[in-house]
Amino acid sequence: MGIISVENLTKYYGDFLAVDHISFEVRKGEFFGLLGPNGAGKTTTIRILTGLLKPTSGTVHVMGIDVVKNPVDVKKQIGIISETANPYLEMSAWENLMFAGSLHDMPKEEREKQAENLLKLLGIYARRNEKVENFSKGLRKRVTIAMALIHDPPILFLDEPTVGLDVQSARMIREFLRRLNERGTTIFLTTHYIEEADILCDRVAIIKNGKLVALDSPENLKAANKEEKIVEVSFNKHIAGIEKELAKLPTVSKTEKFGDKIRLYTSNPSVIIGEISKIAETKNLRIISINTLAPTLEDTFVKLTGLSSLDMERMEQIGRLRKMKMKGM
Amino acid sequence: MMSDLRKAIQIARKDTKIYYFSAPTVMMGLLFPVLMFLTFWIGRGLSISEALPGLSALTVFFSGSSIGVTTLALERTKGTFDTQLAMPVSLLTIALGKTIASFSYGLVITIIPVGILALVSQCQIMNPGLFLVSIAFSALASAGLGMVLSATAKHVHEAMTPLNLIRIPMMFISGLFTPIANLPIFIQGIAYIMPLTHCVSSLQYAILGSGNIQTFFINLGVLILYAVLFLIIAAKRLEKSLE
Repeated sequence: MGIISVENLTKYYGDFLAVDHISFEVRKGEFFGLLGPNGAGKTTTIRILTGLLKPTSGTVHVMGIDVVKNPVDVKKQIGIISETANPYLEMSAWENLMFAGSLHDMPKEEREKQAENLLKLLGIYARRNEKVENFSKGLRKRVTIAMALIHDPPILFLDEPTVGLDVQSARMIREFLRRLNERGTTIFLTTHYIEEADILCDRVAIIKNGKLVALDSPENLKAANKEEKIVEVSFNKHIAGIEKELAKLPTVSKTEKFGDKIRLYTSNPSVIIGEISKIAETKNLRIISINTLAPTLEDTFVKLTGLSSLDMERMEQIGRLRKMKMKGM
Repeated sequence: MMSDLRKAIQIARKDTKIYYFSAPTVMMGLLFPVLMFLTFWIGRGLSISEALPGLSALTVFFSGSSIGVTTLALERTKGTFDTQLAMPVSLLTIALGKTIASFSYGLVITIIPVGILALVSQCQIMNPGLFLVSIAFSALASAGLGMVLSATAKHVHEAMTPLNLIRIPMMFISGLFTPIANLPIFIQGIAYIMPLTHCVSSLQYAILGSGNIQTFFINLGVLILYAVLFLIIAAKRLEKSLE
């Protein structure tokens, strides 16, 4: 049995099926990613896995403990960072950590030692006595992470940890998580950032409409798409209808405009490169660059879900606006 | 069990620090009993000692339920409730922690001004020990009522509106302004199932000596029964709110 074991997990909200009989295991020490578009069932799944929500049916075991029957015992073994969780703004970073430690029944000395270590690692020790209300969103997230790790749990669950953060904070958090995983902590991450899952995760599960549609390492998922290659070309000028013309080339399944470049999806790039040169010549175009690209995790994701990362970003933004509206913010 | 109690006390300490020691809350807490007293006392030709049970009952009942009812909704809005849920604490422990904070606030906010008033007016409280016990049990029941109504509230008004819909009519049929015996029979029936009625009755015995000790203990029994019942209902409603 894996350190996290999920069998036939199902969750209905009324008549709506949010999670549809999913089963998977997470291995000890693994960095596991649950990737999917907004509304796919990521947050519902992680909330059930962490004992914050009861499933309609199915079982979840974390470190051999039944989450539905013993949610408090499971929470002693894990750290949870949910997307909507915040530290107490009215308290200092230090007070927030002391509070979290006290709810884990940690002796004062141990709490203080661990809090000092974590705040130093996360680069906020110097500001430990400041009220969190003065912190930026990125710094607040770091406090939330420190609170979740105060008891040094062997497993950490994170729900969209870098959403809405500036580039520097997101990078810092990713680096911190990578180091934590290297040290042996099992990490379960939900994200809609495909690149984030690609660079961090040992294995990725892709979820769509509550169903698992793929589960493998990022490289294996990319390789599953290997029959399709991408030829990326840019010309010295843009001519109307050039994409349509390129799409008519033999073995090209589709074309996409990527800034000033055009991507052609094909099973035979060497033939296509020759064909592109011919078209450029007849249209009096000069090729600025032409490259053959291996399929990315995003390509696999698009193939499986029918959504690009841009679509996902838009959906997440709409989702966030809805959540803010619901909270009356 | 002891661990749960320790955790509940930590939650209560945190709530007290964040919500109950804020300047507006303390101001409201101190101002409220004064206004209540004036409302209750002016124009009724009562002596201070006669007014004291009513003042104490209103203060403990309103202060015990007012602030606690807002904290859960505020924490939901701010995302700190999720932070708390991530910790190894049961929903009953969270409800207990919040009830302890409301209870402590109700206790302090009632005892200080009532104590000062009793000292200044040299009004005699017949049994100070029973007075304290009565205030404590009443604070616990009113804190529990606040928890029940706030358990599923996402916004403060969602908890405050039903609380006032319950508290305000309760004031008029609890024997505070009119003796219960003078009320229509069916209202008397309702009055006896209201926690405020038992709070008023127990305080009248502790301060004025009216009634008898058996009724006093029945009142305490009803108040503690309400406190336990409210706590269990609050935990169940909290669980339902997470579905």
